[in-house]
Amino acid sequence: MTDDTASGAGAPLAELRGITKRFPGVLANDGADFRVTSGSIHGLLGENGAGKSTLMSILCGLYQPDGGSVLVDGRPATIRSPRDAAALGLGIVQQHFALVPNLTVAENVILGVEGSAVLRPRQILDRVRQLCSRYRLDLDASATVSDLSVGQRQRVELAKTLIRSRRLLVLDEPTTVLTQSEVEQLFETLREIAHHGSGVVIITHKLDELLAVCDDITVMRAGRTLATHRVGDTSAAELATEMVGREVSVPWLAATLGVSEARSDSAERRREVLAPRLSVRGISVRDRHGVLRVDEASVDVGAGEIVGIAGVEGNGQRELVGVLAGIVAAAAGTVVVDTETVRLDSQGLRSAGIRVITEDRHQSGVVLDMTLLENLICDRLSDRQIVRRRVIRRREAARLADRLTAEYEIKAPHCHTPMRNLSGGNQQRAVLARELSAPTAVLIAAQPTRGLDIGATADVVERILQARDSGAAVLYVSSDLAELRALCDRVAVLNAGRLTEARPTVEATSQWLGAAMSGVTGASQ
Amino acid sequence: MAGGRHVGSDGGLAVSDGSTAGKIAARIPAARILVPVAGALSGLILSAVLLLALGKSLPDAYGALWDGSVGSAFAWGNTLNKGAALAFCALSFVVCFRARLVSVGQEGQLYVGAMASTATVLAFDGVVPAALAVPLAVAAGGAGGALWGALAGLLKVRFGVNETISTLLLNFVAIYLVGYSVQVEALLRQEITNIATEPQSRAVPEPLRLPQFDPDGASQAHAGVLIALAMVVVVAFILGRTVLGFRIRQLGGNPTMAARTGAQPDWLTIKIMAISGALAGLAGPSLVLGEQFRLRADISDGIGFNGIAAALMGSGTPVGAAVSSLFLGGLKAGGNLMEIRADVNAFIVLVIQGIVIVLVAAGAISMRGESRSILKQAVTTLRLDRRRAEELTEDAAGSRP
Repeated sequence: MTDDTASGAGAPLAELRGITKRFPGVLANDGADFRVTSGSIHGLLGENGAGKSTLMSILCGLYQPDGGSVLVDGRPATIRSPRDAAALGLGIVQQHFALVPNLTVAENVILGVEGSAVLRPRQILDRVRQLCSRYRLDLDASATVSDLSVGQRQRVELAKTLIRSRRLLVLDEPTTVLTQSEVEQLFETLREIAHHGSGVVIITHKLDELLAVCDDITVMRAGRTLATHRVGDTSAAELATEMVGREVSVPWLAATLGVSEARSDSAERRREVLAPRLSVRGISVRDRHGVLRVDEASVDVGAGEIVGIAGVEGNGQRELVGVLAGIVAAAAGTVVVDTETVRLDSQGLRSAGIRVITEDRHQSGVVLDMTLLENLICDRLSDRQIVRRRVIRRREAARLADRLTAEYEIKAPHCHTPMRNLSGGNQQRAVLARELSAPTAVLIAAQPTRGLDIGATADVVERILQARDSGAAVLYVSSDLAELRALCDRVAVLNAGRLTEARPTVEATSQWLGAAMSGVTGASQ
Repeated sequence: MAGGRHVGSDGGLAVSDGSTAGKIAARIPAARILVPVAGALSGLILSAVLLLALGKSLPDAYGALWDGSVGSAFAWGNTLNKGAALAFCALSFVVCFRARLVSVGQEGQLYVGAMASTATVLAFDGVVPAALAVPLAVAAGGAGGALWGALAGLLKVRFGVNETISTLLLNFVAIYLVGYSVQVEALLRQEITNIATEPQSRAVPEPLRLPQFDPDGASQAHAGVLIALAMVVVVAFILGRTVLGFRIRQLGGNPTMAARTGAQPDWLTIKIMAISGALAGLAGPSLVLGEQFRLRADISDGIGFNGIAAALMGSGTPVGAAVSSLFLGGLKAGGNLMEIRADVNAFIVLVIQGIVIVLVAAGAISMRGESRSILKQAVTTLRLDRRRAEELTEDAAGSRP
């Protein structure tokens, strides 16, 4: 093993100079410079679309730059493929995992670097176990991947990358899918990896996390690298301003960034208790194995009110939202909007004015292979403005799409751009445009800001507040308590499919939320 | 694309999906034409090696291929007729593939369509005027195919049977049903008059055949070619411009979204399979009423399967599928003459056709970026990515120790 001897801590490991990368219609990197040293954790901070992932993909051989140069150990390097990068010791853990679910951890880690045609299971296990203990990765090498949690799967990805390339490890938005304790554990591992002399780069837009774990932070905006700071010499406020390009003023937004104290916008709102606009009554969902995923969930939401649903993911949120979106069948229960009982299929729910921002955009929010225009009009195919005699009227459709694109500030070259080419924030803006441009009595927002950068988060929240102010009943599903506290009038907790009563946010103490989320019964304070 | 340019991302198979060749195809539309052409050429070159090994004269063999496909009005007629039958099957594949339903049932749907139209035309012989009987028989062909396709759709929706498997197996059912129908006099077999009476249907009387463009001339191109052309336009229009086409593509792109925004995926699946089946079914009357004038147990020699190849070659667009069908039609028509004039064994002709089809289809598939084929890499090199060339030279000149 040469990795420890290659370079001591502090030596420049890889350098990118004046990198330019163009995609059709987008300048992703515009003369970006970046330098990472061995034995340190380097944060690459920027909003979505700032060019962070592209820059690191170039370093790791996934893309070829259009201009600029790559230096490894001070020598120019041409990295044409991930294989080339691995040969230089550079590896990336991408946001989306690429694991074979029915193989074991060890098999997944070793896949592609077996070294011989004949597999020796024992030897493989030993090798992977060694790797895990070296970096203190908490992993059972003989477990089957399909049985693992998301956090564990990420560790498998880490091990996979480490076995190929030990000198520089790049992680693209590693914490998006993790719980708080998993994040802690990940950071522990990363420190261990850096301690062994490898360089680590974390790509993220989450400031507080970077401040917690990094040695250096480089800020990117609009394809350029702005500055590199030592963590001790900078502040969250400075970084936030640099990243966004303007002062971050929305109080709750600043709160989630850790810039200032959380201050609830809703706590100050004095409101009358109105008749519920949305009334969910006794909704139960069974999965295909007959397991009860949602157990008689009931909640009322008044007009102009936001009710939050807190809870650890996987406790029935997806199923409950699925019922309200018409893509999951309810085993029991009714939904009432303004005294009318709603038919629980997509058409019934839509015509009742229930709009849904689903949790998983790619799965049930957009069609990536269709254009922005098509994604905007796809629920209006019975609108006579756009469709006549079952034929889509191109000009009218384009006019509508252009109007929505402008109104919701979706950044796209034109409305015929494939959805796939838009950033996550702009995809979410398109979802909002589609859902909220139709009459909205009820808005279901499930993790609407997940994975979005600050600008997009602010836009999305702004739209949701607007919908609330114009009288919609909003059900806000999130696992982020700070977000819920800041936005919701009342909060309920979903745990193991059971939904508690909704309490006014001001009365929902951390103790109560914590107890309810962990399923402690009788948690009445 | 005839239809969907502006409404739709109706770009066929070659979506830029992040693969090198996919990106190339997105950036240079010419690659979508170049790759199949390169595939065809390499197929012919490879076949030349085979022919030489067999001691055949290349000029004779390829001369016959040329003459038999485009060398005369007669040859053109054959090419067009075979192209039409292929185009129906290719369009059939395109329609369901856009919804990411992989149907390989074209062959069987063709057989059912042929049987239905034969039964109809013979039943109406002398009952209704030809001007009515012929369209009815053509429609019956489409309806028969639609039924066969819908059956696979129903199996998928109701019992979760994978449509590729069900359509494949239904092919056998259809082929044997046709075989049976021409064995039994009570069904479609012609009257048995002596021991030599073949197991096939009675001949379709002259007035009930598809009209030919040039009744007395050399070309035997028939009205089926026009129907096929019309279907190309119809399919392109449906996919690109209508709500149905939108739903088809949406179902292919994201079934959950389709369900959320008001489509009924189950019903839609059955409908798509029926439409796909109807298109393949139309190849039946095209063969029976246009070329062979009777139903036989071996009415198609894999036209349904070759249609799939044509669809892939045409990168999944209706127009591309039509052009590829014409090419394969020419290959088939020319192959016949190659066998007769250049004395190339019939099976070798089939092997040559197979080689060309495989190479062209491989090229087309590689553009989808799902396989890392040699062809794909060849295209990457061909692509004259100047920067890459520069890098390579710099590399060679500079950074080597």
